[in-house]
Amino acid sequence: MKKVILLRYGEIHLKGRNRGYFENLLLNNIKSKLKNIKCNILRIAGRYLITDFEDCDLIIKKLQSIFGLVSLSIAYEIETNEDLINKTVLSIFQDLEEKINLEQKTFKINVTRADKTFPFHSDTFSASVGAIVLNAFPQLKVKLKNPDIDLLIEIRENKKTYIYFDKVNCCGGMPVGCSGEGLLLLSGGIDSPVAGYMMAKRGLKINAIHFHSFPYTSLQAKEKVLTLANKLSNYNGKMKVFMVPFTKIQESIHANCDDSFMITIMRRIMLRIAEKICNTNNYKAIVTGESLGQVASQTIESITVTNNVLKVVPLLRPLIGMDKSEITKIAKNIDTFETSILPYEDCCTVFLPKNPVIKPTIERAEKEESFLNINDLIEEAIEKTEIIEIDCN
Amino acid sequence: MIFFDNASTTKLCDEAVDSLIKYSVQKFYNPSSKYKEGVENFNAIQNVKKYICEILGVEFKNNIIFTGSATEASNLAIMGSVRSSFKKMLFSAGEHPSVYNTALNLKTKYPNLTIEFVNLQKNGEINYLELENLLKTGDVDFISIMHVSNETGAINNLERISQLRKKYAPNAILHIDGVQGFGKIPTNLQKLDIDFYTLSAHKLHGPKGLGALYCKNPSKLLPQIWGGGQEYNIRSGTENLASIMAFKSALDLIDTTSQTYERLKNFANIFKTNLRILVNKNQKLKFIENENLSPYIISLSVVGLKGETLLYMCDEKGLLISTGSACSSKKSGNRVLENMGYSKEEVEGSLRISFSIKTTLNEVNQGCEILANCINELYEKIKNKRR
Repeated sequence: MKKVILLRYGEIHLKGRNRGYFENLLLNNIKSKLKNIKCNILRIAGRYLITDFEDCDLIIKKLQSIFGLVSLSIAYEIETNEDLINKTVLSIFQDLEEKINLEQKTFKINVTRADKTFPFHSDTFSASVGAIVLNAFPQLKVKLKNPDIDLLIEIRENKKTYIYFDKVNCCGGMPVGCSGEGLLLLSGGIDSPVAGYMMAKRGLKINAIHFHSFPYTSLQAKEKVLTLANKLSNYNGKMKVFMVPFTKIQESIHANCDDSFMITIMRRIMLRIAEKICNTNNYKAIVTGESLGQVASQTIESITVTNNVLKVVPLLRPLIGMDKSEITKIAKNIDTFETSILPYEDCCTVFLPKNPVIKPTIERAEKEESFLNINDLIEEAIEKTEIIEIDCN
Repeated sequence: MIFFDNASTTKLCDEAVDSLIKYSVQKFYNPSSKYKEGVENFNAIQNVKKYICEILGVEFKNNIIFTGSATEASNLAIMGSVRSSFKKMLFSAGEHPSVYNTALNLKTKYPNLTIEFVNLQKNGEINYLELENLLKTGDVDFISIMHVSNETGAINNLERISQLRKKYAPNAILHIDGVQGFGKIPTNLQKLDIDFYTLSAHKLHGPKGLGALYCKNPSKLLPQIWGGGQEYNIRSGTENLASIMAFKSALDLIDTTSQTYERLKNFANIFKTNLRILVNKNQKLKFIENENLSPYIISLSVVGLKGETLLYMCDEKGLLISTGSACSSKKSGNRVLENMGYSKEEVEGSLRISFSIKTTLNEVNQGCEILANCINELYEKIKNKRR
């Protein structure tokens, strides 16, 4: 009996004529995730298979961070043949008997038959295998709803049959990259990594942009952002991080603009830079971790004024309707929380006003910006941007 | 490059490098081996211990234990002394994390033990009256107070502490973390009747990875590491021969005579005076007011500016300094300065400049100028509002 890992995918079934494209993309994502691990990866009708592996636990852990996979099972693979199936099921139950006491345990055999050339109907075959098991292990009882032991037999088109107990959940979603690439504003706080995770889950391959204000912010703050990007790349795969020097822009805003507009103008400039980088790199969307009303820069008026600078590229805000507690929960699940709460500041507090404007207007923001050499500042920042490639696999 | 962060670590001196190589390559033998080469190395280590005792002003009686770090030495003094019968242990609120966090951790192991912290005065020293009152309550079994604060350079009055102990708790064990004091502040442990004194090699141009604990009576210590029985059965593990010998070479360079002390004191005064002259008069500088400061450490606060930003600006210009303690700067705030009553703004603006015996007057002048320029530059940028 050969042990394999059977992988199931979900939503891509729905994609009709694009199905082949999605399946190939997901296969490539699986391959790049497991590139440094000994195993063989195959595609069969409606499933992927991992065979010839050694470290099963490690592979499962890795597979559980691939978007597009719904569940997996560790299965025995045999040739499709009635006698062989019966014999295998019996030997599986014998193995089980050595591990647990079968007395008074309930069980169910569940056959699915994708291979319609197999001569028995699923229900008939389930019943016949069940009878054989019951005959050999009379201490067991059949129970069709919520049995203790639920054995599944999948008879597939490739003339192979897969027998397994349970399904392990994977993270669902769409294969990363099927919606193209996007640019995430990654600050170092709790929200932005979660926003990136959510969009990667919908198939948008994330790249990140970070604005740093060295020496007003620390070297560690930069490292922290790279650590977060590395954690995101667990779900997202290879990504680029654009480190934009923002010090001169902040100093210039501080010197020339009304303090209460500092954040509004900062964010407008960040989005302008992000859109330019999207255009050069063919990224299709900007992603932020904004949640409506969370801070002064996230009121509906502030969002209106910052959004206004974007010409074509859409700004996606997957967290817009979420509470901080909901966001925190996801951050903990995806292991970014502990890094996000490290005390290094991500935004220069030296320049942050005590009373930022809560309801800015576009006219006023434009007037404040007229005191800046805005195009030159943006060009210079982009020119001095450092690009770092991240791949945690 | 001017290195004014000598309280965090120092550069290994050339003499120590030579010893490190000599005792790693030519004379690498295990000091526990029976052949003469091994015995020679054992004796060499004994001589280093004797020399350390000489500096400490005590007689050598198998009372120096080498460890892997000063942190380990302080842990050994505390964890090796504590007994389940102990009722109360006192620590200063200004202790280095190696002592402070060990103290906090005691509670989990000995839930009935009372741990008290003696607060600091504004001048950085412990509050002696508070110590006296805590000792008066009785039941004190152990006291741990640092010699020189790694954050502020404030020197605690060991004589006074020792007298208070003698008067109110003569049986209490007294541990002094001497990492910033050893080899820098003239000390005589014999007179002070101290039980344990922690010291470190890499703060004195010796190698990293070597600490030591002076123990008045080692037999009272319970081992925390078991093995081949080295270091009087208290700290097993093959002796770090090369580092110990390198430490000796570094120790040969120090002199605890008043000459070096006065030179450094003069440097500290020059630095402070010049900084006040060079920095924009509108920028407030806060120094600790205390006559009893280590001349090796200057703690100052550039009130209203961020110390960390100044640190990076100085780095760009070739001056390395620290904000508060390098060991704790991963955490926000500063426990020690806050305990001394510093405001949030003063803590954020705090910087530590620390010298070594190798510091030169030229470096003091240049370093001061760089720092002053950075302060003025940042001050201008923050105050600069054209509209």
